Amino acid sequence: MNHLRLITGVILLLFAVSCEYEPKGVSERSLQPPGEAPELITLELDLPLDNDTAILPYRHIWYHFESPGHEINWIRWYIDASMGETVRSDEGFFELPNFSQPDGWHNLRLEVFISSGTGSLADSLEMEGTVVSVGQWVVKTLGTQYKKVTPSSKDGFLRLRWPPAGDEQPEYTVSYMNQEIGKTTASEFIVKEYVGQGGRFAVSYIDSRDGSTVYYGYVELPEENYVSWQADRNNNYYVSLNKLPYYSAVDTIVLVMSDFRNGYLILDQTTDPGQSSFTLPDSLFGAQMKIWMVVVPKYKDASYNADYKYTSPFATPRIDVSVGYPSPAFSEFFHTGPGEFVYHGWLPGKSTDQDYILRYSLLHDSIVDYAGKPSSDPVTSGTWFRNPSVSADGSWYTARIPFSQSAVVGSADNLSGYRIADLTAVTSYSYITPMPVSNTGIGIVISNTEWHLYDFRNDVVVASRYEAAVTESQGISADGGYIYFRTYHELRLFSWHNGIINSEHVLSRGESPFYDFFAFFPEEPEMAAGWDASSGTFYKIRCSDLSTQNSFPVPEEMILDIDFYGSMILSYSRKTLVVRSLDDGTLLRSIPVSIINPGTGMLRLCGGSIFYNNGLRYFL
Amino acid sequence: MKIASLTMLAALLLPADLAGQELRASFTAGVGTYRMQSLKTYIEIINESLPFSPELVDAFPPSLWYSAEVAVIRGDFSWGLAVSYNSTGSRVSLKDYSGEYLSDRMLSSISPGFTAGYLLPPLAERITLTPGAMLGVTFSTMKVDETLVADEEYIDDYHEDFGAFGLYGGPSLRLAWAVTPAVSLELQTGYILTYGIARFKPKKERDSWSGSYEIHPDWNGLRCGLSLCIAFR
Repeated sequence: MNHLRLITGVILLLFAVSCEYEPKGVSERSLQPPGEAPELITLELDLPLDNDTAILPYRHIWYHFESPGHEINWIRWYIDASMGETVRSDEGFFELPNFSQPDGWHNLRLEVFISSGTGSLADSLEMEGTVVSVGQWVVKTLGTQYKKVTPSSKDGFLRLRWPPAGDEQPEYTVSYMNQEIGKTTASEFIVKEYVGQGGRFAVSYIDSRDGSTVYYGYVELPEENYVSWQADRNNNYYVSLNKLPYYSAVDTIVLVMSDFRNGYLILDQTTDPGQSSFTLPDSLFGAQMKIWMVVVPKYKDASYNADYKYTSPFATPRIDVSVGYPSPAFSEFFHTGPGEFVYHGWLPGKSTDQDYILRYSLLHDSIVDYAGKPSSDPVTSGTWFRNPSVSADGSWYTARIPFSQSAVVGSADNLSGYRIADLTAVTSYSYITPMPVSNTGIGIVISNTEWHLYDFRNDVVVASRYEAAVTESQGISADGGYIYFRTYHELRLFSWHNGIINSEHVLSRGESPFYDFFAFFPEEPEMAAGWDASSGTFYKIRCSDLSTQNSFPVPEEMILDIDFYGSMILSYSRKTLVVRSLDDGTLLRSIPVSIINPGTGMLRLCGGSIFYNNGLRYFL
Repeated sequence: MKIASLTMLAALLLPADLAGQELRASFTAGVGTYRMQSLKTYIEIINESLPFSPELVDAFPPSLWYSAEVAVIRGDFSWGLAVSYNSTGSRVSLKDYSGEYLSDRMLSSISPGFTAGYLLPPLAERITLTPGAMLGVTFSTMKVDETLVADEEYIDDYHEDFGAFGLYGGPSLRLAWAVTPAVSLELQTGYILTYGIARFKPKKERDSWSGSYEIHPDWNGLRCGLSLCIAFR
């Protein structure tokens, strides 16, 4: 019996020790690992994708991303390397923190996590996916108080969005400039009537608890349509409109200019909102215009009035346009060679309170040298270089200094290297006339009762005529051998040889020919160019005996300039600029322009371009 | 497991020294079913909370149970002491190329208690039928092993032992065949009803632990087994 007890007990013990439950089975799935990296499409982002700097009106940034065939698990942003919020949605907004330095710039980085889409364990745990860096920006917030309503462009229309007012969406009322324009129960509203003219949009709703109106949020939109102006070297002039953010709402774009008779004049129009530019005819060269565009809405509300005045709410701001290619504005202009000129004017980007002598290179299309008054000069503003003159080759230039009997004497090769010459002996304090100077440094200095030839190289008078120099304009030949004085009625020609000034010729109006335009050839000191307005004839004459070497018709109303280096004459007649050959008067170009009765020296011809003194250039 | 074995041996051997009593000792092994509704619900909740969708591949299946009993026969009744051992468990699994999730729960219980039976007149020569009942306490343990590996990285590696105390009782029916006057074989069946007084708590931090869910051991189920009985006169 004892044996039986023992055996039974042992068997039972073995059973108890060995037969414990053991779990079994595995649920295994056959899945394909992820393939190529997914694509991220930015449908909307309140940050510029083509710029790494952004100035944000407020700290709310709306976004909408999409990845075809994949799920976007989250977006995450970092400010100055500190991780910000992780937002688990592919659409919505995130809010930047209050910066301790609100006016400062901060680094913002934005990442999007795209799941692999395999459905695997790692995919479910967001360990198998792609983190896409959307971009990095240097951002600054303007600290504008966020009034809940955010504007954006969707499908070419203005979309207003706002955070839901609560769990139960009320019916929102959307207003523009205090006029109701629609109702919605969603947190967004498409404004089809808006073309970017600016204004205030507001959102309100009725509180279901007490029936009161809750003014929920608003946004002030600035005017977003702007006109710009551009010219190219082919004398094409463009008026451009910025890229329209709400292009689907646009019916017509009208280009308008001011007109003193009718108020405005329609220049052109288009129904293609993608056309952002209009071309003006080159006959408008020289015109001073005020232009604007009117963006006519496609979906007009009841209050719309067809109005193209610049005061229309749909008009862009006006801009002042001088039609032509931008170039230096000048008060005096001097040829010094085939590819450059010296002028008296102002330094670009500087105040016009101070004048300068400048040298402009057509080869470089830029100012290559300039000179201003000495910094020690006590005169604070006004013209300092009075009545400047430049020799034919630019080796000398002169100008009178105001309120003195001194002159600036220098070379165009080194404009700022001028010196101040004391002309007390040969000038008066108040009688200030130009001092034309030859390539040799001999110049004409006129005082009240006499005039002198002055050697600016040695600061001595080399010859004098003790008679009043009655003149409206005067000149000296390149070698200093001939001098002329011209008034409307008379042209007096002198020679200077062997230290003696001789009166060579006196021509009076009424004689034929009489030269209404007279100038020395810079490279042929013996020769002069003369033009008789009464017969419309151009003459190339020898100064010694006034014999005609060449003549041909130039029948225009006036000669504006001669480019001796380019052998071309610029003349004007009835809103037309005419360019002729200096050799035989052949008509080279006839250019209709918007310039009426140009004054002497306003239009100059140099290096294949016409320069208008108000800062415009026409390319021949 | 050592405690369970010693308890069963004590229940077997100690009463055998009682002189002048008619004793019966029996050893039973069989198959039991286990309801475990509370745990099934808990696993379902856990699975739904996971970012992936694992599968319950082994859900408290029927498994072997063992019992030892000594009883005193007086008149038409038997009065006894019994101890039983049950075990079952579950597995939640998910595996793919990127990793594997396994969550195993292994449950066992030691249940000492009292038995009572009414000896019906023999149905035939050597064959008797005895309806009865049992009542006792149950000490349950649950061992949890959970691992989650993704991209060759251990995301979760959790191992914990839980314990719980409860009561049990239920009817039983024994059909016995006397092989010899001292040895008989019995077919035994019954239904166990458990009442969990306390929920599962970790053994290490029993006092401080507070889980989110009330999980009680639920050993309810049918028990069928074959017993070897030895009578001592």
